[in-house]
Amino acid sequence: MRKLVGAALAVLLVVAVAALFVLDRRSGSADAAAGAGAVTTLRGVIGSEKEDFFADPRVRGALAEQGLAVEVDTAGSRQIATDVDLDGYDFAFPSSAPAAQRIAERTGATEVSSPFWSPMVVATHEPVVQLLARNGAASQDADGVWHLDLAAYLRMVREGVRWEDLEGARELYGSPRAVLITSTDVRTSNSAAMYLAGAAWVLNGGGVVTTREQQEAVLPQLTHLFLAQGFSAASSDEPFDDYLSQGAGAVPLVMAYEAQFVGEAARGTSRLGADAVLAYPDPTVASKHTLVALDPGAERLAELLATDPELTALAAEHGFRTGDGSVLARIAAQHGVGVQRSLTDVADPPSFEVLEALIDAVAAAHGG
Amino acid sequence: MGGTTRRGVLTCLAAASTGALLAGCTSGPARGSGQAPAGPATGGSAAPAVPAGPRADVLRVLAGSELRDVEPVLAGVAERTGVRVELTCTGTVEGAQLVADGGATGYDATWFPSNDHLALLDGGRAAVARSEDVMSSPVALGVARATAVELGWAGRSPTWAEVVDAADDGRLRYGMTSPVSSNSGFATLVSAATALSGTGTVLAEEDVAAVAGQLRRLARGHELTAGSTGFLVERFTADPADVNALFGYESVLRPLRAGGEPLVVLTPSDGTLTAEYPLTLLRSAGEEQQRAYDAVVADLLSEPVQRELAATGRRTGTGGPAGSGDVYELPFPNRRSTVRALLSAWQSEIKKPSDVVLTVDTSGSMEGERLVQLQAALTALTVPDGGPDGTAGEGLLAFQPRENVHHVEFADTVKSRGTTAVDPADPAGSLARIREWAASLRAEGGTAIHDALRVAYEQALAVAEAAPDRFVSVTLFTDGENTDGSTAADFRAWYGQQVAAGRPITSVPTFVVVFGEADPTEMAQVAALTGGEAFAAGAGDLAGVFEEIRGYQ
Repeated sequence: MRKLVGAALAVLLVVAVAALFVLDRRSGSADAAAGAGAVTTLRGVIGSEKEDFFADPRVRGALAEQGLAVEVDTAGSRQIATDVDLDGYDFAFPSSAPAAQRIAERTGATEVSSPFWSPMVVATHEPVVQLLARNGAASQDADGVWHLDLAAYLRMVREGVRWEDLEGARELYGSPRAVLITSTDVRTSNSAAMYLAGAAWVLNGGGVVTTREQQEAVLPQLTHLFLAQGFSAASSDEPFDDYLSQGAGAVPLVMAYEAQFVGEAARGTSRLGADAVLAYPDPTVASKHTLVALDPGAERLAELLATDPELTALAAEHGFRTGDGSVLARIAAQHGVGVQRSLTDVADPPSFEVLEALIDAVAAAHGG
Repeated sequence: MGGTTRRGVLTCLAAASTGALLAGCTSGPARGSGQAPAGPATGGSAAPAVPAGPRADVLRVLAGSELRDVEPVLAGVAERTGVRVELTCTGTVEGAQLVADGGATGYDATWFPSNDHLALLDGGRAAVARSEDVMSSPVALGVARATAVELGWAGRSPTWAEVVDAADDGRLRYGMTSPVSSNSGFATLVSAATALSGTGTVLAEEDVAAVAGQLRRLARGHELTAGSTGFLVERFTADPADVNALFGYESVLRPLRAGGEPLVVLTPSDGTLTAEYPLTLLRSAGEEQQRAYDAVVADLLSEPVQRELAATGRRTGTGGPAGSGDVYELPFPNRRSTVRALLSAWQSEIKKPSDVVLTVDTSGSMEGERLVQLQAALTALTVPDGGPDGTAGEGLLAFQPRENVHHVEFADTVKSRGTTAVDPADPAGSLARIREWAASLRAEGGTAIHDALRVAYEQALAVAEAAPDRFVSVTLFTDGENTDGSTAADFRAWYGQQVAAGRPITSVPTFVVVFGEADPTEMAQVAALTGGEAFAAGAGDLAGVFEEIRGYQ
């Protein structure tokens, strides 16, 4: 629940950013700011997974050099799209394209760009991925990167296959639980919504779900994917933390952002175990961190985030992809993580309305 | 609902001796005003258990009672961070309810074995700002070595089905806390039900009926029950011969011994639930407390402190018992209705039924408000459901089908006696008769506690001798000192004679409700003699104390 950061913490962060900026100016180090004339302060509401990025002193320094100070509040992407009062914000920066699309419709904003993106991945463990491979649901590509065959996985789930039933379970991983990816609570978390989007694509025969008939056809199994997990956490760092701290017995497979896995590897004290494996679901879904400029000044921020060499390198340090992802691949390799350089098998998420309808239907099945 | 500010007199005294120390763990949260506990540790309405106002150098934490043993670690945290962590201990189930109800505003954070339960309650998720898992400990079965060898479990963990078989045929006789009152008992029951359902996924409401038969066989081995882990361990340590196994968190079981040897601690091979001990910042905490929380979390997660925590028997990133790969984690129910159905089935049709001998003092001093409170407290135990949502702990603690409720009403003599069997075919009718009895109570006469206690024990022993497969206990309520009849020494001598005669009196604990001018020392001695517990009841808190005692029956 750490990412359910209340408004109070967001305010703290704003204070911290502002204070640092004042300090910079006082110390005279902000000569770039002086050269650029007045400092422009931009206020934004962002998905909480980018909070660490904007709080990073190196990021604040790089923005200051360009004459920008950024203040952020955090909220869930679904909330930003529907509930958050956007008056007084210069930009919104949710973690999904459908949410951004909805914001643009709501506000009439036309400047929409996706400076960062991060594919959904499955964080798993060596024995678990080996077991899936032996049973035809996982494979390693020529670069040694693991892939999870989402269709084969969904077949296992539909048949109620348990780990202990699989060929090789005795030596590798003999859990009595059904094969199932752990995710966050789809009612509150974008990463779970992206998982739902990918599964819906596969269950719909490899295409975006649009019609009501298609929605009804995929819903029973989508619902099962979330309900069968039992209690699930509200935000995306919680199951990933469990994965890091509790190991394969508790969390064999967890849906995560690639940025979480790479960001963890790049930390000074990484908690990734020796058997930690990053696998890409085929198809994956890209979570496009999409900036909606509500004020013309914010367009420059979007451009800098996408193109400034210092900022794109820092984004990669935090695990985000910019452009073609080559910066991330380089940084990840430095920390011993092999990422898939170019993603070829990517499912498009459904429209915001269809995604919301699917989530609402799954939420209704949660009941009391 | 009733107040929740209650705990054993003995526990209070123990807490009082350490409460003033750095990072002392005081007992008992206070809910709202006028609910302050009146036990010796807190001294009436100016209770120190009601935390003082927020301070930047103090983190006020409502904590599970299992966390007492980490206090030495917290002393080090205080030295390094300048933040004193003030633990107020309570049961997890009770604490979660307090937080969800918005009654925990005097605390900055909580530290329970798990937040799963909290998240199912209305208002639970919203009360939490953020949380960080500090360490973990799975629900496990600690078995006396000789028994583990006999069962073939010395070198390998059994499945839940094997545990059920051993409990059913009498080879496994275990202690377990009440799933309604205590988190470890609750987690044990959910683990067993989920694994036995055999679905490989989360327990659903419709699975409860399907596993009830298996759970009943498991319950046949349930010989020792308790409302709290502390009491369970105390009883086990006092007399480890009674049972040969305990269910509880691994960290609690590891230090225990039976037959001179450490318990063999097993996690069932088809899965269990793990306590993750999330230190949880409440949304109501101020900015200074948030910073204090962050400092404490960072220190607790640092490598040296994680090693210290591992030394308490918890699992951490730096060690602790075995690797984490040997435990398969079961899913926790995501619907409150499932939890409710499971607990309800446990209470009314799965657990061993109880015989309760209510021994109530209606001497002259009970006249007026006191009698009204007693009648309200007894009546509360006859309401089978707390409300449409039926919060855990309310309806579930009412008298249950299959139970026998005996009553001994006394002053200077026994005024009335009787038994109401709660009929599974007509529980409402049975409960109405208990209410009628409560309404009929009249205050008059002196106080002959020990005479009444003997009458109560004769009733209890008659049941215990005829039906050894029931939990039999005495609940003694008194508001004054003994003025008539036999003395405490007489009772002690009589008790000794029953033991010598081989009657099963040691299996019948007495739980004392110490009210008004009752003598807490003498009542604590009665509790200690019989293997029970004494509970201090403050004004307005009586119903809560009777409910708490239900967890021990």
